[in-house]
Amino acid sequence: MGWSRYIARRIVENLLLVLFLVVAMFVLFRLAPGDPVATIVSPELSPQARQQIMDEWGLSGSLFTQFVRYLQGVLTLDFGQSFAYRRSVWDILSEKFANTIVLVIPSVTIGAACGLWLGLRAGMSPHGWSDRVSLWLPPILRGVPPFWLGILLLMLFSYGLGWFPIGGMRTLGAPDRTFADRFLTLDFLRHLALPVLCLAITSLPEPILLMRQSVRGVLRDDYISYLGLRGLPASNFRRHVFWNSSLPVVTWFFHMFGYTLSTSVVIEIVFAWPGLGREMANAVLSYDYPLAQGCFFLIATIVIMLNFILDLIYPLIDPRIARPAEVTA
Amino acid sequence: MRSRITRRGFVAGALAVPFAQPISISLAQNYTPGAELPPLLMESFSDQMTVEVTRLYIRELEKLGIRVTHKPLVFSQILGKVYGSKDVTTAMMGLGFPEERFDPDFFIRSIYASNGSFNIPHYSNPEYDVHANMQLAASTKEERRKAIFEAQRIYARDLPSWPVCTRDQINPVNVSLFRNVKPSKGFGLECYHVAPFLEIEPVTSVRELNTATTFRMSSAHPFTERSSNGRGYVRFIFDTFLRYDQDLNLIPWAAEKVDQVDTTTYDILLRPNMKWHDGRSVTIEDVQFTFDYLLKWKPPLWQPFMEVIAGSERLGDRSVRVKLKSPAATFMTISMAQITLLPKHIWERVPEQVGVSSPLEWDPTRNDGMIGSGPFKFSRFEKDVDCHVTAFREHWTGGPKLDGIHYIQAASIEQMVGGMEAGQIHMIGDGITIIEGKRLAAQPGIELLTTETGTFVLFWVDVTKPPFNNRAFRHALYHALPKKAAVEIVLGGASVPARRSPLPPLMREWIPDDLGADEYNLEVAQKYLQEAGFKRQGRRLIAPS
Amino acid sequence: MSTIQQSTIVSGLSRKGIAPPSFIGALGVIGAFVLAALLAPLVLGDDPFANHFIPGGGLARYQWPSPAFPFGTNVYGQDVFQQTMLGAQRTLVIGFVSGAIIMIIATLIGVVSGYFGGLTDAVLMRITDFFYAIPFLPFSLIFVHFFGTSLSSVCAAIGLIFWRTGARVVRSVVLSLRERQYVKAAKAAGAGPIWIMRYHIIPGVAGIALLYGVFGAAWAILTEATLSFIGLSDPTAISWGLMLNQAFANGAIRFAWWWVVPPGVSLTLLLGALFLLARSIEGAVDRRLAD
Repeated sequence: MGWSRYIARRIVENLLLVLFLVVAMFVLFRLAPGDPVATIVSPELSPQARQQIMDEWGLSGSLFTQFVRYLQGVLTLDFGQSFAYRRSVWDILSEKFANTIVLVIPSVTIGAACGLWLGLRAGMSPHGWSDRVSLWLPPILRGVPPFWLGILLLMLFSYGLGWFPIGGMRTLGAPDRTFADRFLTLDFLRHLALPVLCLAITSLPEPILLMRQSVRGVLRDDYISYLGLRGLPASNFRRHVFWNSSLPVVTWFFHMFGYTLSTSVVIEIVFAWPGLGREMANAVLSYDYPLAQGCFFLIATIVIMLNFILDLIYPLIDPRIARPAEVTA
Repeated sequence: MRSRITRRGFVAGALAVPFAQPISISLAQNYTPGAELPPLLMESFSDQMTVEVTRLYIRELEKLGIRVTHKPLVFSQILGKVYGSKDVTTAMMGLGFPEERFDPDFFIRSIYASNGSFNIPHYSNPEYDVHANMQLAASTKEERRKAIFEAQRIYARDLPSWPVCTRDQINPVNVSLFRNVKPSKGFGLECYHVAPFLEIEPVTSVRELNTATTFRMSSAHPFTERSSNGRGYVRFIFDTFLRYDQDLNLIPWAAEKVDQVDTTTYDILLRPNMKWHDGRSVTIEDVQFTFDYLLKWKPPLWQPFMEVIAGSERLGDRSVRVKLKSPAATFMTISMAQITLLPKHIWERVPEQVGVSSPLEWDPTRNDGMIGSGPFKFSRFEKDVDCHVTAFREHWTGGPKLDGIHYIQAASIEQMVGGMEAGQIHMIGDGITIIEGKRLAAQPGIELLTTETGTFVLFWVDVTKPPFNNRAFRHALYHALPKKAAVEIVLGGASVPARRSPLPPLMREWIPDDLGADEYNLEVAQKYLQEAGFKRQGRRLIAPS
Repeated sequence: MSTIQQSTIVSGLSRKGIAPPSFIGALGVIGAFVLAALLAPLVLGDDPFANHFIPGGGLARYQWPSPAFPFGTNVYGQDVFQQTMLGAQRTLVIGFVSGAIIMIIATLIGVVSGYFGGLTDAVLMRITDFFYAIPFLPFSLIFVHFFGTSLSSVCAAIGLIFWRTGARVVRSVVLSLRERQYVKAAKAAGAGPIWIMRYHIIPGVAGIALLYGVFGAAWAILTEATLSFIGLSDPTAISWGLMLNQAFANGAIRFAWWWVVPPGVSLTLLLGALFLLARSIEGAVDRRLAD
């Protein structure tokens, strides 16, 4: 099986996956207990008025016709109108998604960078301070609930010391029409600092452990010993070790990105950050089907895409790994 | 029918069992006469406050030997179940008090009359219905009062459901930046009610008021907006014919006069020299158009106050005659105070000329459609960010003293409290508890204003399901309700215990004096239990046979 | 587990000397919580929502920690220490039950898939891929919202998702075990697949399965706390996540640190202990697999 055939097969598989998710979403929302129109209509309305509202929202007709309408919409990326916002779901999604991305990327990157550095040191200098730290710090950090960490940071740095604002993406009333207004101001950076710190700390444990383990393994390899025997200066040596051991962290990075994206909801709640996760939680809690479906779809699709990209570039990073044509998937 | 249980079916069934319990929320009561009373099902909102009130109640009921299964449900789910499908056994829920409910008709007739649209208890008493319907058609206030009193006396005997206590409106205000801030009776300082905002005066160079709330507005569409905040916001921009002032008197507004010609006919005299926000004059044609348009399109959310209207006709160049289908005391108190004046030159194009199939789908906030004649002009509506209105100085009142209002929907109480402390938010409209309010008011420059409202915490009972169809049993339940404890512990005192009446205590002119609030008495409750035929056997309660 | 496997794990642990102190410490912390959960109702009373009053008659609202209330009281005068101890119950039950479910499902799928290979393997792995793609928090959110916040539904939601990682790892271990000498010998001697799985494969993956059971328990506890914090839990059942949710919703984080710290510290301790435990097991299993 050639490389291009493999890619084609993976694309088809991923698309099928997305399709399954789309159908599962519909089933879950429609068959769940609870009256979908409860929050839209009030009981004082006449039956005709109720029917009118249900027609307006596309909630009338048999389940099958609703399903067909839903599928048609999804194929054109039209998730309909949000019940709560009365705006196109896609508009809302794109806006909130940007807010979440700007939170997730810096956090995971910073966490990864610090973790890589600490892991490298721990791996290369056993029994040093970094090694001892890397033994007990990661399990504790993994055990700290991210939302609690966020609350602690708020208590310490916002309420206590007053260095950072207590939440939101910018000061209330600040201009936000243009991209620059929204993302390129000092005000925004001050608001970004604490949530990013929180997420970076929770992204720390895995890279430390992975890197340390990987470095230890690499150091035992013959070609590295050879480099050492050759009398390579320390910094060059470190560089070789680094590049050879960072592969597991690359894999982790993609997974962590997807993971942080799907768990961003709690951080967004703690810091009142208007992002995708929080939007989804609100939509689910208020039975805003279209918006909840749209959010779930977006998050799931991105996670699938990340896995797919990882599958693609993995052999490129490490030529030692056999091309997928040569192993069973 | 022969059924073959396949292995797959069996496995599916076995897997479904743990799921079946959470799904089937309506447990079979299994009430059997002569046997032990099974645990009663009590559903409630899931917010901490309602859960705590429910818990206090359950503790008292357990002292009587009555066991309760408490099932808090997610907000949307319980709304749909209880208010939507009226599927309830007992439920502890909240009942809001928007301006549309500021008339005894809602509580007396809509809830407790057998054909009432809000009859959640499934209460049906022909004697009660007589008085409930009579009060709506009554021609004088005295007649109406008599009918309402009679209805309440029957209610007090039957006790089909009962409110627990009210919830005060809690408004911290930055008085160093704004003065003359007087909350409306019954509504406080919130978007539901425009009256106070016309009086608020800036003290410093900060001339626009930033008010925040955690409650969500959906849209500013006059026809489709369903939240009270949103409808209040719409009333900033659009005028109504009559309006409630801060003391809840009905005063003329866009209508100079509304005369009752006979029981089903009213004449509306339009105020002269009013202007739309785009400069055009308000004419009688706009009034005529408003009625015709609403009757044509029948926006569902307007039905409660539109459906009694049969039609309208122009009388002169300043008045319009409105005919009702049947006599309705709520025409003046509700319809005239809720129907907003629509500009003909904007809405006559909708929907045919703007490319949608119904006016409900048109977004006036993005198409320069928010032209009204109210004291504030539309500036911006960005849900979750900022909803902004500016002063309209050409308003016939002279316009507000503020330059504008920013209505901010905050994501959390933290944001609001922090914003007030930092001076960015000047007022909190809704969403804060008394305890946080008091802490905030300890800051210099911030004052706490509390207002008694008609918002209820209410206990619903389905009077058709045994044992609740037993009147004495209901009385026993009623007397076990610790109203004062709920007020003190859970609401921190920012509440008023409900009286033995469907009406909120602030409607005191409509409530007979002998219907009081302080009725918690476990001994009396025990007596009623015995009268109902329940016998105590050790720790168990045996139902009557 | 046969005696061979039992002793191998222990010897794996003790290869670097004695059982590492972190392992003992982790077990100790977990044991302490179990003890607290069992004893708390007897010692402290079983109603975590009882309202307490100060001698003057008023409600003991937001009291600072004191001898009467070691962790102070919350907005309704409820004892935070009692809540923390009683909250351990729900957390531990969810942890153990979900962990067990995850371990069982992961082992079953991993073993069947790895041992039989072929079509069974392909189908099961596709199913695993499907579950891998589902973002777990949004899914649990929706699931619990619709199917209720009872203990069984939360365990179901968590169990339905987290077996995926364990299944893949178990499968890869089975793939290598399948090729071992003793398995081939057993096959040649005419042993059926069930026998081989029971006596050779499953014991071989027991360590890994246990590892992912422990991970599963930790993820379950963290997910349940997260869901409770968001507001998707049974408000009549006290849990640490619910305590944090209430503290946050009441704006108490501005000043009532005694309400915020205990549930968070408890979660951190318990989860940290579980991850330490997992790490020790991981070490032992690695050493054994290297044989």
